[in-house]
Amino acid sequence: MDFNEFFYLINLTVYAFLIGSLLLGLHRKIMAKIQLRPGPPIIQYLLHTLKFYFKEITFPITAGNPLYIFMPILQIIVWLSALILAVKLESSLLIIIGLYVLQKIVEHGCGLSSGSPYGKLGGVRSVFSAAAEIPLFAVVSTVYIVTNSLIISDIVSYQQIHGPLILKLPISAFAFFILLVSKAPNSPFGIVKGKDIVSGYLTEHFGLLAGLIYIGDAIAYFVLLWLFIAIFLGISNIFLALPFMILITFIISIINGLTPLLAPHHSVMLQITIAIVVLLDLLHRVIFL
Amino acid sequence: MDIEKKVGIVCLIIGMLSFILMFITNGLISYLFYILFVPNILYGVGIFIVPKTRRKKLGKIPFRGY
Amino acid sequence: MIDGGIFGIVPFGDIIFKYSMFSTIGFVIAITFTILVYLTKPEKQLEAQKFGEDKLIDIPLHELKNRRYMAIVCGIATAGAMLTQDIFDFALFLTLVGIANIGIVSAVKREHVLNASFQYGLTSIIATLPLFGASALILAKTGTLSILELHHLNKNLLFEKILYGLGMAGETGVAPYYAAKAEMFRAPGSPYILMIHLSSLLLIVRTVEILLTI
Repeated sequence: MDFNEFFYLINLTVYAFLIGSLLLGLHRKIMAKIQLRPGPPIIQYLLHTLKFYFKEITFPITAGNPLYIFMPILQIIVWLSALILAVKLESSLLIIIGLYVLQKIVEHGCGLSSGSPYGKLGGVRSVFSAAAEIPLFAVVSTVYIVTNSLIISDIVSYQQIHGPLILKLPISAFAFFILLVSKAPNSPFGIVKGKDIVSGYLTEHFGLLAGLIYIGDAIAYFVLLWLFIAIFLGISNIFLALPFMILITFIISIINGLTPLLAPHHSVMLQITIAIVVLLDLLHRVIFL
Repeated sequence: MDIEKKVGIVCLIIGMLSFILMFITNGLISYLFYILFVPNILYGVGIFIVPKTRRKKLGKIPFRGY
Repeated sequence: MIDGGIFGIVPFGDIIFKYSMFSTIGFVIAITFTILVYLTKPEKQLEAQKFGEDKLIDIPLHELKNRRYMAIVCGIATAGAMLTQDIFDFALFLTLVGIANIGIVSAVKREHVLNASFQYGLTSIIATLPLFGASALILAKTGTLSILELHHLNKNLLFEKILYGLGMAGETGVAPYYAAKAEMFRAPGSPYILMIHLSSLLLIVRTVEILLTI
């Protein structure tokens, strides 16, 4: 790696972090407007991240080290590698999904390693909501059957010839969109971070560690939005994708602003229902097309 | 020195090492060192910036019946 | 193209290990977590009592050693399952992970955890039937178990794939079967419990890759 590539990577990381956090701030603002509140400014998420980054920490006596400290670092590692593999290298979609699955490990590990009952409940709920991954695998399989490749650059070039995939695979696009909704804060599927268990897995990661997790979350939001736009709309340029990201954030925040938090079993049952629908779609494509 | 600072020093060392190795290696391995570099430096620098904890009982966090 | 480029192939007789981008990343993750599990001390849990003060629960050393050993076995089996290029071999790794998962929680002396692990054990024993049955059916239909060979054969293996997927779902304890497994996660000892979750998630991704390849 030379210095040019290094500066490109740094730029990409900072860009993803800034855009992700600004979009999360916008999400909060729109939700507040829907609920007839003025709401915080759009840079609020950024300010939160900075605030937490400069706060004191101590490790709880119940925590299991070094897992406790490794988890926030792993969060950034996971989403940085997803960012590089997806945006820079345009590598295999399945690897990105594998990295997304590691996000569950972060949630579970954060919750369990702190030894807090709230964190533990968040972790157990994150295991429950692993049902959200099944539609994802069905989406991957469906995309593979249609485009005959899982490399993202191949999928994008396929769409430049045949038109965007969202018109051909509306059910898969819907399932992926539900995934985006469940990743956004205050979503109806956000049982992992529900307010009934304080902050779920984040309860005992405070101060600097929370700052690290927030940075990871912002990059995660950017990567997931980019992935949706690249796979289903066929736009892989990070600047051209920006208006679509704002649009999708707008739709997601309207959904999140208008729906209450589902109970854990309702959330899981809804996700399993979506999974069954997508699996049936996949089976139909395998057998008849 | 408390355990947080110790972990911070380990993280700084890992971050510096990956920073050097990043420029020596090529291809995917250098990306691996980059993704190790960023979070470790973030934690390692951050832990020396944050103020010293003013908690009386170290490690005993509210909410938990202490 | 599924796995994003092949780096190299290591043949051990007729069992072949393939280092592609996908499998290498999975392998590195599994090995990293195995090392981390070896290093990490388990967390202590604060349990609310009916009367009196809350109790800080510590895990005794003999219980810890047993579970750590099983967690390391689980991690190594996961790492092996990431690399192998043989369907039967992969099924064996999958069952080994299932056994190790029961082993991780079986040392916990709590009734509900042991009950859940017993039920998970039953599910995983039953799930070996479709798993190995599907492997046998694939062998009978195509004459080979190597994934690299099956990739070029282009035979219709839909029924076998569904059976194999069902076997995997039972063995890793996901979606329709996870009722017992989520109960297992309530046991104390975070790194070991995390290994159960990590192995099952990585194996699911790997199974999807295999099912798409063959």
